[in-house]
Amino acid sequence: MDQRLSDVQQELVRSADQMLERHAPLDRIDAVAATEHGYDRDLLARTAMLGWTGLGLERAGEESTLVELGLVVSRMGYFAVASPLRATMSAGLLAARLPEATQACDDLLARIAGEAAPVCVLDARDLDGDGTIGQVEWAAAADAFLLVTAEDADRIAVRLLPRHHAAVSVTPLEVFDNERVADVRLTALDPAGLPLIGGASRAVWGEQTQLTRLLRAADLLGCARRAMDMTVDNAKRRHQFGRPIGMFQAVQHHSADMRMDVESASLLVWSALWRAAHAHPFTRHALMAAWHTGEAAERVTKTAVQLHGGIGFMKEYPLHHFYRRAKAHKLRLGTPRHLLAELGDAVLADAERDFHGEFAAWPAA
Amino acid sequence: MNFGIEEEDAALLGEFRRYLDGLAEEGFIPREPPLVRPDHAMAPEDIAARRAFLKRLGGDGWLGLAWPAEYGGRGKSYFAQWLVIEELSYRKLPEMLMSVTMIGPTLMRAGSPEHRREFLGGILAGDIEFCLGFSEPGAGTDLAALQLRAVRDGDHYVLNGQKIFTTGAQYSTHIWLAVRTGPPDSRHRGISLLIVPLDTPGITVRPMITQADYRTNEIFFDDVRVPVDRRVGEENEGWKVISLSLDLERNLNANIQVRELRELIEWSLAGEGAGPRPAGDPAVRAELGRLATKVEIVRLLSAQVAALITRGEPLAAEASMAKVWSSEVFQELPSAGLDLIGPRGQLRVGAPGAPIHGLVELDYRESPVRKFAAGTNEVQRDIIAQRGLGLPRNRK
Ligand SMILES: Cc1cc2nc3c(=O)[nH]c(=O)nc-3n(C[C@H](O)[C@H](O)[C@H](O)COP(=O)(O)OP(=O)(O)OC[C@H]3O[C@@H](n4cnc5c(N)ncnc54)[C@H](O)[C@@H]3O)c2cc1C
Repeated sequence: MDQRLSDVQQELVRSADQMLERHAPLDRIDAVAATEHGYDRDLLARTAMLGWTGLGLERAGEESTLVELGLVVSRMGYFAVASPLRATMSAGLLAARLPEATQACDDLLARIAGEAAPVCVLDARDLDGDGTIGQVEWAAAADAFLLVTAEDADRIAVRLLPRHHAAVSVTPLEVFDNERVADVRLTALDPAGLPLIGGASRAVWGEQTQLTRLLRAADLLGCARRAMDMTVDNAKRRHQFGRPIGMFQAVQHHSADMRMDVESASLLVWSALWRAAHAHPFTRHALMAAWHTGEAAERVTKTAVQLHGGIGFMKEYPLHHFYRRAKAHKLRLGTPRHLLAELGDAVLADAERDFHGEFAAWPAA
Repeated sequence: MNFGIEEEDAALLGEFRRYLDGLAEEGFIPREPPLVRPDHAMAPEDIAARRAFLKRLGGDGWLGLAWPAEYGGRGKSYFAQWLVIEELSYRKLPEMLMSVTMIGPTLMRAGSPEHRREFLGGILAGDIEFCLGFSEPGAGTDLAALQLRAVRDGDHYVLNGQKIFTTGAQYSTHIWLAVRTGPPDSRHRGISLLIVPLDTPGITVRPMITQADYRTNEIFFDDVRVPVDRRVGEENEGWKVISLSLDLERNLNANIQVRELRELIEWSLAGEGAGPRPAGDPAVRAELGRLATKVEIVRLLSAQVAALITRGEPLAAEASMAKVWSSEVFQELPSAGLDLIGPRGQLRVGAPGAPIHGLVELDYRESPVRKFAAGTNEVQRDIIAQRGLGLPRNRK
């Protein structure tokens, strides 16, 4: 048991911070948000050059770099970077984990890893060629979609749907953070005519849902950590009553609570990703990480604004980006009461199977 | 990054589980955990059973697994020892946590060769057990205010004064005692640490019953004579020894909470009588999901501390975070648990027909204690802010 980052992981985080500090500093967030597509293409290209877009895309049996993917996603959250990277990597994970993959799948993975081609997943399991898939992140920026359809009760099929296919129309939505989100409407689409990426059981799709949540939780974790760091820095510098406000016990106790929220979320996120990377069951752990990190990030960003006082409330100060991102991403994890219901089901299912032997057991290293 | 346990540790845990199962088969320990935790034993026969179990554990080599061989230990990893103690708390069996993880290792570092000879073997055999004599009526969180006087008289100290909340004194053999050897206002510069057998003449132990019906104690010292060579560390330098031992008081058993969670989950699955299973209600399932998450965090934070100690790394804010989180969940579990159970939750522990034997209400009554004992959570939050986040100190 060793919760620390390995040397390689530390180096990855250091280089991520260096790159983001240079190319995605907080004072550029507004300028990027004002562009047509709402993200920095050069930055996305850089992530491919650094090898980030290949992380986590190993096939079953190869050594997984899923934790490393989580680490860079978390740093993107730490800098509040708006980018299709996370949505693309979620799509990549789906493609890479399909047991029956085609040549088109390999080509797609090569494009994601090599060029950071923006891709996102369209969950069309409930549609029949017609209908709207709501609130798809980075749909307008995508080159292509991974269209997921239900083959029968037990199986899904994944196909490649080009962004500019005649059956597709994308309607951007206005959201309260810097993420770009759109409704995607499909009209008279015949999936059978699209290149097949692969097929899988429903269980694979279930894991995909959890992995997507875990990547978002990693982003939220970075977001919460940054809000805490900004607050602590400010509490050391800002003086009232002739002393740093960070000397007041009330400020210290709020800060300690932030620290515990960040620590607990961090342990849940990394232990769940570690489990997924090492082929241990992770559904319950991913749900725990997602639910708690959503709550924790919301609490931390709220406390951050409180401890900053007025300046933290101003648009010219970057804290509001984290405040917005935390809440919006929390909502994207799923309606909290539904998330909790799903978590409760997972807990009871696991506990009923074998409490002492499995539920409460530590996995093998 | 690695969230799994090593093969050797897992093997030892497996062996220990089989060992305990064997003791249960033999009839030496009950198959099902008792209602009252062993550390709360008050009746003479419970105290005798507690001692017999600890001696058996000691004799079979399961106490102090991580102690070095030169002190009679088995030299296993600290993590393995933590897992074994976790298993005991999961089964609600005595574990002698304080003597094994705190007093013993402090003696290895700060005790004289005579202390080590006299006490370490006895601890590992389950014969010697310490209680902690720090708190006084006027010295709680502000421990440096303690006033129990120890005056030199030849090669003895003569003790006069009082301790309070001395838990386990009814079954311990010795007290790990902080006394004032300097002037009354000398604060942490005038404290010494003594080892005192509890049967020394002049000691009176008076029970104080907690709201959870278990016992702690007040101890009065009237001209109690203690040989000077029972002092650990130099005279007036006891604060160093206290800090060392408190630094070692970082072992948290997450499994107390895991056990409580299990009891609630089993209740929700089985239901009471002919009524519907509570687990059929989505609101109940969601609440159990929330509580399971809190407990998982307790486990991860506690394992992180155990792993840090295993690697011999300094603990900064990690131990305080684990302590605060775990003590708060310790209160939240039975609070939320009783709310899940509803009106029948009012049936007291052991009452006929009480859901989960009334254990949840007992836990509810016990649940505040961890938040203020062993370093109150207010002070722990100061530590997290100052040591963990680098905020400035706010008091001397
Ligand atoms: C069941 C039980 C078992 C115990 N077992 C032992 C034992 O075996 N041996 C032993 O020595 N002691 C034991 N204790 C004592 C325990 O360690 C003390 O209760 C604890 O140190 C708190 O001291 P106090 O009760 O005097 O409260 P106080 O110190 O008076 O604290 C009261 C309140 O004031 C707050 N407070 C105090 N100082 C500050 C500050 N600087 N900043 C912010 N808030 C502050 C505290 O957090 C608390 O909320 C036990 C207590 C109990 C109840």
